[in-house]
Amino acid sequence: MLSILGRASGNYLLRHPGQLLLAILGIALGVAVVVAIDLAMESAFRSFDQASRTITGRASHKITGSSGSLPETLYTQLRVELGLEGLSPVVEATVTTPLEQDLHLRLTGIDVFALDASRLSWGPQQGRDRIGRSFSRLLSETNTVLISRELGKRLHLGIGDHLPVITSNGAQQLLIIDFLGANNALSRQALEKVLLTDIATAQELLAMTGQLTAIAVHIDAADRQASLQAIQSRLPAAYRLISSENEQQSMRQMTRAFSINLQALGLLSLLVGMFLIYNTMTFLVVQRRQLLGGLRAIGVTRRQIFRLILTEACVLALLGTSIGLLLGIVIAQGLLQLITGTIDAIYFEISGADLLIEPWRIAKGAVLGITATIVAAGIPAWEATRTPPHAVLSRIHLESKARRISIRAASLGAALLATGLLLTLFTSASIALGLASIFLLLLGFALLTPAFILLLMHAVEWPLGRLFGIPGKLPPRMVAAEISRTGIAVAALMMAVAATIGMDLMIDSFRQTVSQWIATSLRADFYVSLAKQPNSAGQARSDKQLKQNLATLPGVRMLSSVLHTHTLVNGATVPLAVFELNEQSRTGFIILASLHDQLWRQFEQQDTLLVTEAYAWFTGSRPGERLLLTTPAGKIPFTIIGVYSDYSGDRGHIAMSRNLYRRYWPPAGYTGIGIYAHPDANLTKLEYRLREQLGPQYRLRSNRAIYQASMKIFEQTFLITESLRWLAAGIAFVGIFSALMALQFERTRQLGVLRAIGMTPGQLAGMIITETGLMGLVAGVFAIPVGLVVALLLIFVIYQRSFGWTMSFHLSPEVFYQGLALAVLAALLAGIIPAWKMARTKPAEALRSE
Amino acid sequence: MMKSTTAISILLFVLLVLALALAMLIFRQPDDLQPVVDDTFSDTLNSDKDDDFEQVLRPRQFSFPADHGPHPGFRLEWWYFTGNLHSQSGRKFGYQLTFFRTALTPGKMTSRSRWRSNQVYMAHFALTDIQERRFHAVQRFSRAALDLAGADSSRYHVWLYDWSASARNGSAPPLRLRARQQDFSIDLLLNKGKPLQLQGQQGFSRKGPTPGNASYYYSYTRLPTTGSIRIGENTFAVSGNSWMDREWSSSALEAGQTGWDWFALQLDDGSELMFYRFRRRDGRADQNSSGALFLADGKQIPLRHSDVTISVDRYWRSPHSQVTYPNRWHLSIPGHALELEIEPLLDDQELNLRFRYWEGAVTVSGLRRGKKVSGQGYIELTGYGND
Repeated sequence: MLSILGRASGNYLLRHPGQLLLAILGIALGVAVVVAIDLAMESAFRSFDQASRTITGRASHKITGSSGSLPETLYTQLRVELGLEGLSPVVEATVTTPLEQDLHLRLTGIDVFALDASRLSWGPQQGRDRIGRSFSRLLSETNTVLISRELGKRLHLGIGDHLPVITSNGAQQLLIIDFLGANNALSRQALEKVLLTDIATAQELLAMTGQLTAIAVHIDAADRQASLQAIQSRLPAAYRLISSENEQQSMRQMTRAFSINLQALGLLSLLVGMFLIYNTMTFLVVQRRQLLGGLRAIGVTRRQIFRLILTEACVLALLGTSIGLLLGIVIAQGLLQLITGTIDAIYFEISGADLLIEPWRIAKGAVLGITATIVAAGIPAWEATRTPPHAVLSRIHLESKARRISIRAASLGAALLATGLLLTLFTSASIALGLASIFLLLLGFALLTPAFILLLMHAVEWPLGRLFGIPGKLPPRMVAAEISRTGIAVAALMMAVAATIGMDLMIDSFRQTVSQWIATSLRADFYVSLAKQPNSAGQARSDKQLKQNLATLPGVRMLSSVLHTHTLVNGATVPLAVFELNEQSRTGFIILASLHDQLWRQFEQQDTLLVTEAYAWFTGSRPGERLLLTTPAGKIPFTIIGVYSDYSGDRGHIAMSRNLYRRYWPPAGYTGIGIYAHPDANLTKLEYRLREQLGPQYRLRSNRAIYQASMKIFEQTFLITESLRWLAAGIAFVGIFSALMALQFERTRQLGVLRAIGMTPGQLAGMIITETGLMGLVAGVFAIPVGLVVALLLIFVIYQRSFGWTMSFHLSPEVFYQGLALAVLAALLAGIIPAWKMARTKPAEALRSE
Repeated sequence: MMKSTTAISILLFVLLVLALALAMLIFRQPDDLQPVVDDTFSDTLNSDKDDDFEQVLRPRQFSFPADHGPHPGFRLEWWYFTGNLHSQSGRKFGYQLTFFRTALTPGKMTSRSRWRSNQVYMAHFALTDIQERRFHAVQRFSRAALDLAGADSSRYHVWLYDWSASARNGSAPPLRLRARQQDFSIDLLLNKGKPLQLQGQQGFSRKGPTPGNASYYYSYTRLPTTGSIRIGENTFAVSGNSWMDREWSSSALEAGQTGWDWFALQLDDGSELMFYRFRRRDGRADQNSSGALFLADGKQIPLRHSDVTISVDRYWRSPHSQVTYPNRWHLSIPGHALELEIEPLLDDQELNLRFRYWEGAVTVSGLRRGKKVSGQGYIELTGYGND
């Protein structure tokens, strides 16, 4: 249709491959980060439980115990005494192998007879007549295992070979007796890292005799309600029947805060990317103002021009988005490790997650990328068509307009800031609205940037002029004069640096808070972790015996204990910590609000509870309120007498004294015992004695070791945030680089004039570097207050809303220097190539080039 | 100009390579998949003969209730109940409840895990609803661990999950049979009828000329039964007669044997007939077929293969498996002047389970010493479709 126009555009783009590549890179990076986060997050969720769900034939529900395991007798009870059908027991855990570092394998023990063969999508692969033999060997030979062919290839192992694994119970050798095959791609993927064994083998390997991890339950859709009712009514209170959708739902719920934060980071990248696109498209339009003006003058309509520019944008969008999608998949691979690491550390165990690439998520990313590009290109396209032909030809027009616009932008920015602040103040719980307000504030500040540049340039012009004369005055003037270019570049850089500063401050504050909390909480000298099934009567007896033995050891002054269990509060399962405290361990609690002066006496003697800050936040409960707890003795009201700091869980828990627990619940063991040494005891000797007493099955750690382990988890948690932040900063760097390239390129003639009137190449390069340095400085300076605001919002709005935690704000000044340095350095780096290029250009050539 | 064209070509090439990589990632196909889900368990119960199992070589002294319990040193064992029942209004039902035990390996396994066991139980439960012409059959499996399945030696008690056959104390009968499934269930009391009958040579039942190819075998040939049957929402009070077979061995079929036809008939003159006939691949009569006639007065008359002639009058082809089974028999024992016509109460009583066989309620009519007799029974047809 527009063959001449099309060719004009194509030729132009081809003559500027650098511009083209930068624009494409901008789109690609923005899309890549969004897609990567989306894919990785979803894959992490999907991989949870995938292996055992596939093996049990996609059970619709499962029965789990509060402590992560179930007694195996429960299975017999349900199957034999109650005659329930469609149940299959599972014993599983993640194991590693010395053959490949960081390879997490899922050891899944099943009872092959409990499976409904018609539901299965997998089987041994050796061929029909060998099938039964494989299962028979699983049952009748110890340490036999089936693995996927893929895993066999990966580890160079075949049937008959031994696979060494490391379980919580030590190193073991497993005999591969067959490969596992699956009849669809999803199952194959789910089984890729599975070690399938008989349930007896799994119990032996994992030292889980007597225990099950879960019971998978098939419930037919036909009489779902009745079947659910039947199981639910017969299930002892300590166990829960949950549907897999529900489980996924609750996982999503649990990690909602985490995923919103990640997605926000992804969108921030895209936003910065959009700046980049806008910048490039504007550049492409403005650089051709002569061409476009000429075209308009010879009668090409506005509509045609508009279409031309949008077509260009579409081509760029397609190229950029495709690269972005591929790049996104690559980044997602890396991100997945980080995400699963974080989720493993703070939420629940997911292991061996594989990236699931769902076409519709790719499509979503594509739509997002193309839309963002077209939206960003729309403004320059509109601008190009609206301007009368003669005005398009004049750059002055644009710049004078830009100055007017910068005033308008500043007022719009102020309005956005006000809206953002109002949003923060008047919404109390929504995380999404909290994030929205951060975006509004960032955008508001970004719009204020041009005005800020003009002010600052005005301010530095005089001292620089005094110091360096005309060459000193030139850079600030040039930055100010070309505000339509510099404004966008500085704003993009400012946003990225502000986000970096904000997150650094937030993470720092968080680290300080948690570190103080852990240091305060760890009052005992040593901690012992005990069995996984503290609720059984046998365990209660043996734990009690153990505690008595520990108490009599020389050097031990006193003990404390905790039992982590669950209880029902108004029908919902809530984690319950049962404490047996001494005067020293009590000082480990940071009480935020309390009802009585005699808090601890009340706690020990009456029907009272303490709740964590997170619990109080999420349930809206306050001291003085009563909670109705389901105990074996019926429903009993307990009064909340205080709220204490706890950064360990995500949704919070409640706590009661062991005295009180004993009153209503049957005897139970402990989850952990704290050991307090005599002040003059030799800790090394005591540790030795304790280890001797405890034997290898208990884990003894000093408070120092626990502190270090906890902080390691903390760092792990923020690894991902840190990585993503660098991605955003990278995009901003590309942004400022492309803006500067464009700017210098545009000024070829102008710079030619300067060279012609006697400026040396060195002076010219120095001027350009000063100019870019000034831009970086503006971005950096402006990023400091903006970063501070972002940090405050993250700490007091987002994290408070996400986790129910309050953190104390720690202001570390080095974060600001670093941010400032980052901005200036990025700008200077981005200025090097244009400066070098311009300095090299011969004045005559430069003058001719336009 | 040249430079930019090169740049674009490189860009396009990179794009193409990336697109191909993406396509490979998304559409990655399996290399060599032979996923098999069917027949998952069949071989578990069908492993090779192993000489380390105890062998049935000579008659033994039975001792009850211990011998009602399991004999884990032998490879295979079963507790077999069948019966013809009717409601008060005369509606007829047939049932089968069988518990099989198989040892995967000889010897006993020890482990810290209570799940570790080489003893596997399988149970089949079938119900024939003659009036509605419906046949229901289901199976279950479990290892003998954690009381999920097993049998007792101190009283008659065999179970798999919540299906069970048990005597309240000591030796059977009365025996209570309970099996429940979503669509149908039984709860029956099998009362004392005729005393326990040792089959073959004092309970030593030869199945072939090879030493050890034999089983220990005893039966309750007539157990007056009362109880209830539930089909869907409907429950029927029923009564009738049941038959119980107990057998254990470590043997397999002889070479050349393809399967057997097993007859267990209860006649209304108070006598019963048990006869099993092996079929040979070459079609010849198998010398090892045998059985017995149990007279009303308790006398037992052994039957050799040459004593009995069986002819098939009609065949039926299963619409499920396409296997053809005999469907009507003429059985004659000239030495005892017995001529019987045997006919299934329902053609389709094929159990399409891990093992496919036909086992169904039959009706019997004929002449005994010139006098009319009638009766009922169960017939089992195995190995069809494998020839």
